[in-house]
Formats: sequence, structure tokens, C-alpha cells
Amino acid sequence: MILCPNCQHQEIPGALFCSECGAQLLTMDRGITQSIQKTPSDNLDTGNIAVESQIYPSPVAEAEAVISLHVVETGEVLNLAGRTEFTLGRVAEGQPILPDVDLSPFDAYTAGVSRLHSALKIINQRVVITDLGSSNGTRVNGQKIVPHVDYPLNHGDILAFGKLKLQILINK
Amino acid sequence: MGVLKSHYEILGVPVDATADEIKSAYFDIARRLHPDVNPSPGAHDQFLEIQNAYDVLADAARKKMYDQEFFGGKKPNINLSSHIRYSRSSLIKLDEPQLIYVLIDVVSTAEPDLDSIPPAHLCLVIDRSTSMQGSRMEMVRANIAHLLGHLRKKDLISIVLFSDRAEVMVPPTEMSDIGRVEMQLRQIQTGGATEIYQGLEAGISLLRTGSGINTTKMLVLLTDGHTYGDEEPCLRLAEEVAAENISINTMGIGHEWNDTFLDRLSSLSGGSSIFVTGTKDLYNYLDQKIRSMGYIYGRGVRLEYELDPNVELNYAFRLKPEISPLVFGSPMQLGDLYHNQPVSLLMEFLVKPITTDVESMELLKGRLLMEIPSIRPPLGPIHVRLRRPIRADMTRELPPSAIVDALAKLTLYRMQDKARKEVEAGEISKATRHLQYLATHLLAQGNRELAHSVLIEAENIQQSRNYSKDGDKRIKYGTRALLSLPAPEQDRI
Repeated sequence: MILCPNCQHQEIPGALFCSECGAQLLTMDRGITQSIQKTPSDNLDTGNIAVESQIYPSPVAEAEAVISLHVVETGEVLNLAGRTEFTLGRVAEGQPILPDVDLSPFDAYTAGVSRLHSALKIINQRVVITDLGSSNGTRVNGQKIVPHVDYPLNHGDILAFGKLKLQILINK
Repeated sequence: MGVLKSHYEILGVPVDATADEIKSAYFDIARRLHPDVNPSPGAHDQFLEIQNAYDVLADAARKKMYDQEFFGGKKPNINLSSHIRYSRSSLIKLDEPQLIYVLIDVVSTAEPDLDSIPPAHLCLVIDRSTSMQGSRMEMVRANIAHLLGHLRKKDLISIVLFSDRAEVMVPPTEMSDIGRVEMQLRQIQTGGATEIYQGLEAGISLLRTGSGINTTKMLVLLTDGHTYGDEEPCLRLAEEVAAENISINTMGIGHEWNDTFLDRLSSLSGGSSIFVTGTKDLYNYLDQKIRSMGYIYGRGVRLEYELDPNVELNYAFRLKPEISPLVFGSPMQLGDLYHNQPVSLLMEFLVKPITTDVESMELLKGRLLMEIPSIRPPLGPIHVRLRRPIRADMTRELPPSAIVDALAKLTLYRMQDKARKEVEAGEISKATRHLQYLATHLLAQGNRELAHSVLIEAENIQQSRNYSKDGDKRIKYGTRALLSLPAPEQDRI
């Protein structure tokens, strides 16, 4: 038997993928647990989207509505580009799905940000926010919004994820 | 009537076999039949026959003359090749079971002579039960009327409507007479229950009687409901028509149809099944079916095989040209082979513990057969032998990327399958966990939309202990569709 390094499920020698969790079992020596290249999900480094887009501003992204998030407390600005949907939240251990934008550098945990808190979407040149059923809710300009419902945003609106306040900047 | 076997048939090699293939086929047979090892009286004559065949075919000049004579100066243009890849170069001597994956590609590289491709007969069998009323029937009507224009002039179309009984709405009609078909399409009335066998039988009898021997025959069944109690006869019918090279393809609309049943029905005859979620699915699928009829090279490709007694076939999946799980059992129906597009087959073998000292093991021994309308006399089978040496130790090696790539996606497909069975068995927490794993991989591969619906289903299952109304089908066909995404073409060897 070989053991899946990800979930410890027993697999038959020769198996290339774990039938339990789907992780790739690249080396297949018998009997011993191997250090194995894990699934691509581990490489999904979503925290760096903002940084990357600053270094490489793509002309496509500039043509579309580009959103920036201004962290009110620290004054930092996160630029979001290259997609039409961004999930916001905080990265925690053992989390199956990672948010596109990790807010944990801004004390997200103590501010009460959920792991998948909300999503920003660009729909027909409009920017909307959807709360993804977070524990402490999402507020727009102090008004709590209904979970799973798109809520249109304007330039300068203040978003609150739990206690973490972000100002949205939309550059058309 | 005694038919003189060609030298190729005697040696059991394809007409386009290379010198090496001819040589190895000859040695294989000679080893068995040589008078020194085989004392049976017939063996001597057979050996001489083989010797004679080989002497001709091994000599380039004589082979050329023989081909001239045998094929009447025109050697059929057969460019059929098969390519076999294994997940590992050898098996290991091991006191526990092991797995090995094999990917077989069969491809025709012949220059297509599109005018010579035989006519096709497409029979549409349409459910007109009460539930099809309104937008569903409207969608069917509009798309079919539009798609009819894509058929070639020589092709035939027929349409059968069924509810609890079947009626032939359009008998086999040539494309030149298309105006009438469009008129009739507008007059479809809905009503009644769904009994698939009725429709299927009527459609098949049209295909059998209404078109010539050389015609490519294809049935497309479109339904939105469960059939009542006639699954067994339907499946028997599918097995029967597979031998006549009639393929059954199925399309399900809405959430009530039985996908497990339709999958099996189409797989048995080498066809495929899809889930129609919108008018685009219906259009694309039928469009592709109709277009492909104009590119057919071989029909009814099938694999007859025997497994080594120590080997089990765990899983067989057709990756190309259309994705479909395969019903395994010899012969295994693989559908049609199109010009310039491979038939690609992925198999998972379970090898029982190997404890005795043997040098190699033949996992599978078989023959690939198909009917190639453009080639007369008929082509002999392509022999498939999956043999691997057995080593004492495992060497580290990377499996071919085509196998890894296909398996990465197939693993996801099988994971949803697992979750579905777990939901049926009431193992909700296991099912939820598998769906979450599935969503993670989907996200990692960039399938945000599908990942999202998988997560919603996971939640749904936790709350209601069941999938939402079409959630299971959406995930099943969604993950299945992943396999049709382009994969790296060739491995560097």
C-alpha cells in the first residue's frame, strides 16, 4: 500500500492520484510515504495579485474598470486587476478554498473577517459586492447588506468586513 | 465457397504493416507452429503457408508485385496507426495488488476524400410527453430546423416522436426534400408519458430498413423523463444494434431523466450522452454529430479482448472523439473513427499479486476491429497486445504526461461519482468532504463556475441530505466535459 501524503488514504501501488482527495501521487515507491509534489492548489498564491498588477500593469486591465481597495486604517492601497471577480477573505490553515485577496495582513482575524467573506465583481462596467454568508456581515457606507445578493458600489464607498474598513476606488 | 486468404491475413497483420511488424508477427506464429515444437499434423501445413506468406512480404520487390496482383493495381490507402502508452515501463514483483494505466490511440492519417465518404442516415427520436410542452419543445424545434441545413445532399433524415407509443413523423427523407420536414416540425403536439423503448424500436427499424448497407447509421434520442419499466429491453436493443454499427446517442433535458440509464444505453453502442442545460448544448451537440458524419473513416470500432487471469479491468474511458465511460466486456464498443482525429481509450488495470518468477505479463490480448467503408477488401484486425516486463524493484519514472493529464481530470470525474453514491447511501459527511476536495481542485484548475456549483451542492447536501434538482447531473457532466479540453498533444520520448 502507499499512503497519500495529503490525506493519508491508502492507495494501491501504481495509482497516480489519490482516489480520496484527488492529490497527485507522483512517485510511487512501495511501502513508504514519499514527499510528493502536491496538487496545484497549494501554489494558488492569491495574496500577491495586487502586487503583481502593480508591477505589470496589463493594458487589458487598464481598459476595463480597475478596482483598488484603500485600507482605511493603514492607508495602504491594494490594486485589483486582470479578472472580473475577486473573492475577499482571510487565509487560514486547512482551508479548502482560498480567497483571491487575503486580508490577513490587516489584522483580519481580530477584525472578524470570514475566510470567504465577500466577492467583488465587475458586471457590465458596474462594480458590485456580494456578501458570501460571512459571520459578521458586510456593510456598505454603514448599511448592512443582505448575503448572496449583489449590491452596486460607487467610487469612494466605504466597505466594512466585520470591523475592517476598506474604501473602494474605481478607476473607469 | 473457399476464400483465398491474403498473405496479410495469414500473418494476421494489417495491410499497411511495416517490415518490422511483419517480421515480429511471423516469428510469433513460427515459434508456435514450428514442426520442432508443435507435433500436431495440421501445424506443418500451416507453417509452410506462413513461411510462404512471409517470404513474399519480407521481400520488398516480391511484396510490391503481390500487392499489385492482390489489390488490382491499387493498394487501398490505409493509414491507420495505433499508439500505446503505459503509466509505467514495467510491472513489479509484488506481494500485493498494483495498478497500471494504459492509453491507446488509434488514428487514421489518410488524406480524407470527402466525396467518397458514404451517406449517413440520422434518425432523431424525440420525446413528446407532456413535460416537453412549451419552451423545451420550442427549443428542440428551432434547433433542428436550423441544423438540418448542415446535412449533406446525400444524407437522410428521419424523425420519430414518442410518448407511450411511437409514431414516425418523418420517414427517411433525402435532404433535397427538406422543406417538408420543416413544415412537419411545426406540427409537433405534446402529450402522454415517456416510454423510451417505443421510440427506440421505431427509430431503429427505420435505420435498418430505410437506408442502404453502406450508409452510416446514427440515432439520437432526446428525452426529459424517466422511462417506466422498459430499461432492460432498451439496453438489450442497444447491444443488438451495436453489432450492426448503429450508434445510439442520448440527450437529456431537465432534471428528471435517468442519466445512469442513458449513459449505459449510449455506451453499449459506442455512442455518447449529454446533459442539455440550454439551447446552446443542444445545438452544439447535434451540430457536431451532423458534421462528424461527413468525416467518418471507420465505423463501429470495437475491441475484442481477453485479460490475463491475474488482471482485472477496473475502468475504461473513451477520451476522444467523444467523452464517454465505456461498458467493458468483450467486445468493447468504441464508436466511430473520424479522419484526422484519434479514438483514444484510457484503461485502468488491477494486477493481482505477482509472486512467481515470470519475465513478463500480457495484461490484455485483443484485436481492434472496425468497418472501413472506403476499403475493399475489408481490412484485417489490428492486434493489440499489452505486455509489460516484470522487474523485482521499482525504478522511479514519470508516467507520460498525456496519461497524467487525463487522469488528473478523470480523478475529479470519479470523485463526483463517489460523492453521488455516498449521498445515495446516506453517507452525507463523506459526500460533503469529497465535494469540497473536488471544488478545491476545480478552483486550482481555474474552473471557478463549476467549483462554485459544487460548493453550493455540498451545502445543499448537508442541509437536505440530497442534491438540488439537477445538481448531480450538472456536476457529473461538468466534470466530464473537463476531459474534452485540449491536452498536450505528444509526449517527448
